[in-house]
Amino acid sequence: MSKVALKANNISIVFGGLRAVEDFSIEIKEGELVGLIGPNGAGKTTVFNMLTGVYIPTSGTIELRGVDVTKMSAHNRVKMGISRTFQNIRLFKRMSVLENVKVSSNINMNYSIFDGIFKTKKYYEQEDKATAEAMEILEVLGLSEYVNEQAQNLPYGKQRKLEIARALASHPSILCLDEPAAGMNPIETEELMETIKIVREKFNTAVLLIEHDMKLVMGICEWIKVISFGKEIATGTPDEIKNNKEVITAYLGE
Amino acid sequence: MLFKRMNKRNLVSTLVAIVALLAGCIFVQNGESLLWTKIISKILIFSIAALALNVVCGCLGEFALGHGGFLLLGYTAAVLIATFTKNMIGADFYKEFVYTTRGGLQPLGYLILTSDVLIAAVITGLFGFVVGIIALGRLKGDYLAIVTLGVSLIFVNITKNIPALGGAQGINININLGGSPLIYGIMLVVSIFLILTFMKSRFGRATLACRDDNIAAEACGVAVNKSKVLTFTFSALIAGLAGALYAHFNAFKPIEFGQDLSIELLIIVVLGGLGSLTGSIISAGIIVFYNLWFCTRSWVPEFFASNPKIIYGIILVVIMLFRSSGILGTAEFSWDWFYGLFKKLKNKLIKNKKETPKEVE
Ligand SMILES: Nc1ncnc2c1ncn2[C@@H]1O[C@H](COP(=O)(O)OP(=O)(O)OP(=O)(O)O)[C@@H](O)[C@H]1O
Ligand SMILES: [Mg+2]
Repeated sequence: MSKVALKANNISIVFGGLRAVEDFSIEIKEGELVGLIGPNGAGKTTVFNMLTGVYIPTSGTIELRGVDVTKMSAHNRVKMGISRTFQNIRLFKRMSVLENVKVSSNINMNYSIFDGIFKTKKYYEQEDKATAEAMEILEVLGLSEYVNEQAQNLPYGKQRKLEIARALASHPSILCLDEPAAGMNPIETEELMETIKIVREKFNTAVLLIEHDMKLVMGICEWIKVISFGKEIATGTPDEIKNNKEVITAYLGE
Repeated sequence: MLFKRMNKRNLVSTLVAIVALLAGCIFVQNGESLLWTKIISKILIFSIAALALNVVCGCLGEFALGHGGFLLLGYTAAVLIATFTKNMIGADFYKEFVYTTRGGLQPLGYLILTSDVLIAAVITGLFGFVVGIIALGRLKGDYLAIVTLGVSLIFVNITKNIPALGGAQGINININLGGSPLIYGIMLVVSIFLILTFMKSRFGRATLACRDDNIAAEACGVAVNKSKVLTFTFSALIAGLAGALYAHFNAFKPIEFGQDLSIELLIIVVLGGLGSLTGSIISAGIIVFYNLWFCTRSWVPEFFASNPKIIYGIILVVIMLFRSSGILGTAEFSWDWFYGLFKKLKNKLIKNKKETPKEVE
């Protein structure tokens, strides 16, 4: 039995009268690859925002590796083992690819400001370790040749991958990817899905994947949760989801 | 440890540049010209102040409109501490062990001067910390600009009206510790060093991440508010250092502080390029040179001489129209670039030589 990486119990959020997400629950074990799908505006990104601490749910609780983090700020939650990418790319545009990844290494470093200014042994040890780790991650994501490039100069598909690389550097036990294949062509998408599989194995993390396109997630996810209008309508293996009437209706429209 | 990773050429080049700068400072202060001592002093001090502001505006990406207030704070703190020290120790002792007969400083004098400006800088830093917490800890967006503006207005007006803190005439400096270009040069080198290493550390990386995207920075585990307050405190400390250095130079008056100074610094930073430390220093040089040298020439049209600040307006408009990123953008001086330039020049010369015969044929 593997441990639970992420657990959400009946989380809901209301935006000025609009119940964007209602009674959403999920339990993801370490190392699982889970899909979260649903039509436009279903509330998928809002779920991510609650899990990662951008929004505090109106009701319900969230646990990371058994610790209640419902009220914890976003940056502290990263230390508890959750990290994410954004649906609309949010890179540190004017920083280099390597520095982008190293921003996330901050939580693994603890040298003081004096170590930083006077470049002590501790500074070099921690910075070197972070650099080596970042290079390894960039290698896996096929970004090695861009290390010193400014993030904003990367081709679109590579920017998406850089977001994943950056999310990995904080050693997450659950990695949340918000439509990582958005805007990619079919070949790039295929390649990205392979990469996600490799990343999960190599960095030993569970993955929660939002994807708009149903067929896509079917291929790689172990199980899938479907939401529509803020409410869960189905949970199950790809095969079960494929044949679920409610899901089909939600996607085809009434 | 500090210079472990620098290659030999760059290390030697840096040391040579520092020695050259300081030698230049000594040359100027031993010279006869008070004008040139004043120009060089002011360029060095303004460079430090502009660097401080650039840390907030360029590196952190927040606008601060009150750095003149921090300079004034550093100035006032330095004067008060220096006066207090002199009263404590006694003028006779100063005559014997602090000043030389020629009006310069003995080693002990340099020690007192250095501690004075450093303590004043730290006090300003603490003050900046409080302002940072008020403006950045809770509020988002352009509030920093407004809060810093407010704080500096409060500070300028308080010091103007309390004689012990300066009054309308400013504090009469009878504590002259012979601030000199050499000291200013050393402090500029120290400031550049501090800022460069800060920005190269995890703290500076967090600063840049906040500049580019707050939400993403938070999602990467950066405590955005803390990081902003830290950077702002650091900037206030450097600004306080610049202000404290001002205190020990007879030719400057505290009247020169205030909102005009804040704006002047902002113009220097924008002209040099937001985020470029090199740019800030170059443009500090240009602005000070323009004010203290150009505008005092007899051949300069009367209009400029009496309205020197007209150029600021022109600079802002021209910069925004033609080169909104400033002279240097975010580019920095580097030795690799410097020596690369030589190589390019050499290649060009060789090419020209080869090409000339062809043209003859
Ligand atoms: N901060 C907010 N304030 C008000 N309403 C919001 C806010 N964030 C999201 N919503 C609303 O909540 C609903 C769910 O939005 P969300 O972005 O989570 O959908 P999504 O499933 O990610 O859709 P998409 O596939 O288009 O990305 C939408 O109706 C949206 O307008
Ligand atoms: Mg979404």
